[in-house]
This record gives sequence, C-alpha cells and structure tokens, in this order.
Amino acid sequence: MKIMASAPLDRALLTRLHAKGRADRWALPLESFGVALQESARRAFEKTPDRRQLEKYLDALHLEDLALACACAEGSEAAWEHVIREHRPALYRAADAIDPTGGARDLADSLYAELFGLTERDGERRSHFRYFHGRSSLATWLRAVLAQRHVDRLRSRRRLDPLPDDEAAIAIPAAVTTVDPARVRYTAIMRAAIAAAVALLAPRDRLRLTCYYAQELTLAQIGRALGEHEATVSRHLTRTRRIIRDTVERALAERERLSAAEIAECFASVLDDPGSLDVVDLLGSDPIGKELGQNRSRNKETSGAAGR
Amino acid sequence: MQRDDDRDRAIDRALRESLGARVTASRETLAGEHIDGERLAAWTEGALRPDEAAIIERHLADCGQCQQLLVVFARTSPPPIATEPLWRRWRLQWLVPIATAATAVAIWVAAPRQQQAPRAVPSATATQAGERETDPNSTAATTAAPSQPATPSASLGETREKALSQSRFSDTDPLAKKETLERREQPADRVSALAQAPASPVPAAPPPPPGAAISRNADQAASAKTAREADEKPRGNQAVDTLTEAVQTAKPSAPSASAAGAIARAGRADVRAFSSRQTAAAIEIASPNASTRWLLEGRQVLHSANAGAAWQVATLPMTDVLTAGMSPAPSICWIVGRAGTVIVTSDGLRFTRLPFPEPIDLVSVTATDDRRATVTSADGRTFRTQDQGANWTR
Repeated sequence: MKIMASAPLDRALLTRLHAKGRADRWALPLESFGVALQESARRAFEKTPDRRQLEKYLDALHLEDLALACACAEGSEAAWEHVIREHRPALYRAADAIDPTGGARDLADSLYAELFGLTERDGERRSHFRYFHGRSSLATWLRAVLAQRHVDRLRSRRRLDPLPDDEAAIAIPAAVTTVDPARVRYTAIMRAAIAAAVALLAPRDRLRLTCYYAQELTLAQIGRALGEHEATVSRHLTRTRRIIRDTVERALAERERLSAAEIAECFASVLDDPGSLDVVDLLGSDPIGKELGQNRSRNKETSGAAGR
Repeated sequence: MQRDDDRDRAIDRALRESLGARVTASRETLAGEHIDGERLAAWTEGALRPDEAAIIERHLADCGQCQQLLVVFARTSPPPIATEPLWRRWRLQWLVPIATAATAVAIWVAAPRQQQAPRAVPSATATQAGERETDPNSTAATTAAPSQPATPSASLGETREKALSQSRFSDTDPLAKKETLERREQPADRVSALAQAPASPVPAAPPPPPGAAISRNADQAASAKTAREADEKPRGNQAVDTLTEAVQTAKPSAPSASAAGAIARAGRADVRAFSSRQTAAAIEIASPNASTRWLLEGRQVLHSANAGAAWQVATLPMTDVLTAGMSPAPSICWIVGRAGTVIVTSDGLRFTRLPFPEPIDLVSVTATDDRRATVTSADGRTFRTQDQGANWTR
C-alpha cells in the first residue's frame, strides 16, 4: 500500500472508515479504499494536515459513495449494477433538464461510457470514477460533471460559429431620438455609481445579484445552487438592492455633490433611457427562456408582495 | 416629486443592464483557475471549508464562464419535495389508523355473518326466527368474546338466543328492551357502513335516528328489520365479497394490520392494475369510456381505441419497467414505474416523462386530470403533483 508522507492515515482509521462507508458490500479491498481517501485528502489540503484535521475531513466525506465509486472503478459488477439502478436514471433526468429536446442525452451517454471505463491508457481500463473524491454526493457530482460538459460543448460550438456580419448590425435601423446632454451625463453618473456600489458588495451578494439579473435564474434555482431557501434568496436580494440604492444616493450626494433635484434626475434618466432591450423580450423565441421569464415574473410578484 | 417605487425600479433596471454587460465582458477576460464540476458540487452541498468556499464565491461572482456552469447545474437540480404543514400531516396520519381500524372491525363483523348465512336460508317460516337468531349471536360473539371471532358454536348460539328471547319479550324492563332493539339493529348497519369505509374514511351511512328504536314496539321493529335486512342483504353481501377478495389476496385469517392495509388499499382505483401485476406480465388500464385502453408490458405501452380489438404501440420516452397506471379521461393516462418513472399522455399515444424527486420504485398512481396525480412509492410514501410534475408534495 502506498502511504503518502503528507497523509498520516493509519490502519485503525482506515478500517473504521472502510466500515463506515460499507465498502465490504462491494468487496472493496482496504488498500484500494485507502488510496482513494489519500488522494481525496491530498487534493483538499495545500499543507500537510495534522491527524485531527485529516480525521475530521475524512469523516465528513460521502464515504458510501466513495466506496461505490472505487468499487466501480475496480470493476465490481455489483457496484456497477447499483449505479445503473440508482444513478443512471438521475443522470438522464439531469440531461433532459439541461436540454428538454434530448440534445444532452449523448453527453450523458458518453459520460456513462467513461464512468464504465471504456477509455484505456497503457492497456489499462480508466474509469472516470477515479475523479470522484467524495466531497459531494455522487448524484450531485454526476450532475455537475454533466453540466460542465454541456458548457464546454457550448463554448466549443461558439468558437466555431462565424462572427456576425457588420452589415447585419448596420441593417438594424437606429431609433431617431433627441439626445439631451444633461440626461446623458446623469445616466453615465448613475451607471458609474451603481457599478461602484456593486463592487463594494460581498462576493456572495454579488453572485446572488448576478444569478438573478444577468443569468436569469429563478429564485428557486438560485436557492438550490447556493443552498438557501427561496424566501431567503428573495430577502437577500431585497436587502442588497436597498444597500445599493442607499450607496448610490450617498455617492451622488457626497461624491458628485448633486442636489436632491439632480439626484432625482439621475434616477429618472435610467428609467427613461431606452437602453438595451428587456431580457424577457429577447427570450420570447426560446421556450426555456420564456418559461424562465414567466417563472421569474411570478416570483417577482411574490417577492414584491413580500417586500411590500 | 419622484416616487420611492420609481427609484427602486431605476435600480432594478440599472442592475439588469450593468450586471449583464459585466458578465459579458468577464466571460472572455477573466483568467485563472476556473471551477471544475467536483468543486462546484461540493460547494453547492456546503461541503467545502470556509476558506475554500470563499475562493469559489469570489471567483463565481465575477467569472461569467463559471456562472454559466452554475446556471446549467442549477437547471439539473431535481424539484424539491415540498413538505406539507404539520396540521395537514397530522390529519392524514390519523386517517390511516382510523381507516385501518374500521376495516379490521368490518372483517370481524362480516366474517361470522358470512359463515352463518346458510343457517338463515332454510325455510320461509323460519326466516324471521333465523334472522333474529343470527344477528344477536354475531353481536354477542363480537362484544362478549372479542378475542375469539371465529364461528360460534350452535349450542352457545341457542343458549344466547334463549336469553335474548326472554329479554326481548319481557315487558318488565323497558330499558333492557330498548338496548336489545338497538343491539339487534346495529350489525347490519355496521357492516354496510364499515364496508364502505375504505372508499371514504368517514362512515357514509348515517346513524339511525335516536328515537326510532324507542318509538316502535318489539314486533313492529322485528318485522321492519326483517324487511330492511332483505333489502340490504345483496348490498351487504357485495361489500363482504369485496372485502373477502381483498383479504384473500393478503392472506388474513384474522383482522391483522396487513389485511386491514390491503382492504384500505382495495378502495383505490389503481388497485386493480397493481394487483393484476402480481399475476400477469401485462397490466391493462381502462379509461372511463372503456373502449380506450392501455396495456403495460415491461417498458412498453400499447394503446387500443376499440376495447382491445387492436393495439398500437405508444410513443414513450426512455423509461424503466412500468408498474401501474390510471386513466382519468379517455385521452389521458398516467403511468408509473421503477426508478421514479412517471409518464403521462394527453392524446393517448405520445407519453412525456415527468421529473420526479427520487429514483424510487413507484407502485401506483391515481389521477384526476392531466395535471393532478398522486403516486405511491414501494415504501408506502405518497407524492402529489398539481402541475404535471413541476412540483411534488409529500
């Protein structure tokens, strides 16, 4: 058994973890499980952990899932049948959720093949399960890996897409509007103030805002991604908006030295600015996006009512 | 004067524009180590150390590329199981033992009746007397010896009949007469009322008016009772037959909990499909108009629009083995199966798979339309949806 100097994993601890992970269900050797635990710890700690830290870390792992993944990687039929029964349907459901038209099924199939270990290196079967280190549940890890592959495929397609024609951009007629220089100035001041206020936020608040405004996730989806309840997300968003507004008003008054009337003009300039199109309008042709927009509208009404 | 709401709307709009532009700009420019699937999974489960989680959040907040990953990942999250309010769960929890107890008592009362039925038949002249003998005996057996519900002996029955006859025609004790009359009237009502218990936990048969037994004299009551019993007999026997069938499938010689559970389930519309699965490979589901039917064969569904004369293979998404189904309307059919399989059709032929929160085996389904259904898992839990599987409630 290969013992790493950085991971003081003794046999008693290993035996206990082996039993806790019910690794004997798959007849997984102690040594194989030990290697998987050490690899997991090696990736998690930059510096050598002491025994207490290591034990705490290893105890917090999803040991049953890790044992299952190890057993699958080692070619245990019983373990593989368990994966087929318990995790394969979930993987397909996740693929269908990513692309309801079935476009992500092939990704799920290829991931499934890699999990089984169809790829070989140096004549040895290499299962993708080797990359599971037990820090999350196996089901969540599978969904995350599938999501990553989908994003990677989208990016590779985008790189291959031709750039839009300049003529196409010219072909869209620009609206003829009378530009008020004062309004332009107010809009610029306002946008700068908002950008500064957003930059001052805590990363988690900023992430929540971005998920909602830029990524168009629903409150429920944000909640699931951040491990928060939907109502908590709504409350945090309301609080963050309030902070941004206060920060912007203070910045306009103190840094820009604007009067109350001018501050009111700044806010009005944002509302009056035709700016970019509404996101929901843009999503009109996309059924998923449309549904997302409708859900968000409902959620907004709910959160608005709660906020009031 | 600018309204407060207007400022909030302005902030809302400015955030949408500025954050959208910010993400677009950062999508290609933010360098460094991006978040991989493993760390994202661990982060969403709160399994990372605080310092690791802080790094992930800082990166996610500004990296459009990794936000895309988060967005796709969030879409794959299964719908949450909404938990019902405590009071509602309590109410349901009480209904189950009440219904179980009611059906157990129904078997108890019905079993001796069925065994004694031949004794009441022999002759027209003996009918009234036979009926009089039968009911009090069963009641007496039920009340006097609840631990021995089996066939009472003839001698015991005769002894009790004598005692009851004496008290029945005794004019000296009106209270005893009233009690006897009420006891004699109870069993038939109890059988018919309790036999309906599985279908609706609340007893359907109303109790007799309180003054009815007192106002009649003994002879009037006896003749009226005989006539009523003659009317009720087919209905009572039907109920007993239904119960007996269900009991036979669950092998109950005594009113055990499993027998009672089987009876309770017998009232549900899906029981036919589920129980037939035990004996035959194919499960047939009939729609309300009877000519439209579906046949479940493993992972395949066949559809017939002419009462089974011809069958057509229905279009299915990928499913596991199908176990049960129900059709609330001729064109609508819900089917459940193993590993959280729930499929539904609104046109009879093309089925759509619905998301289900857990990959558990499902054994039955009841549906009212194409949006509302309740499915039961193999471990006895029920999940309800009112929006065609978008959300499930336990």
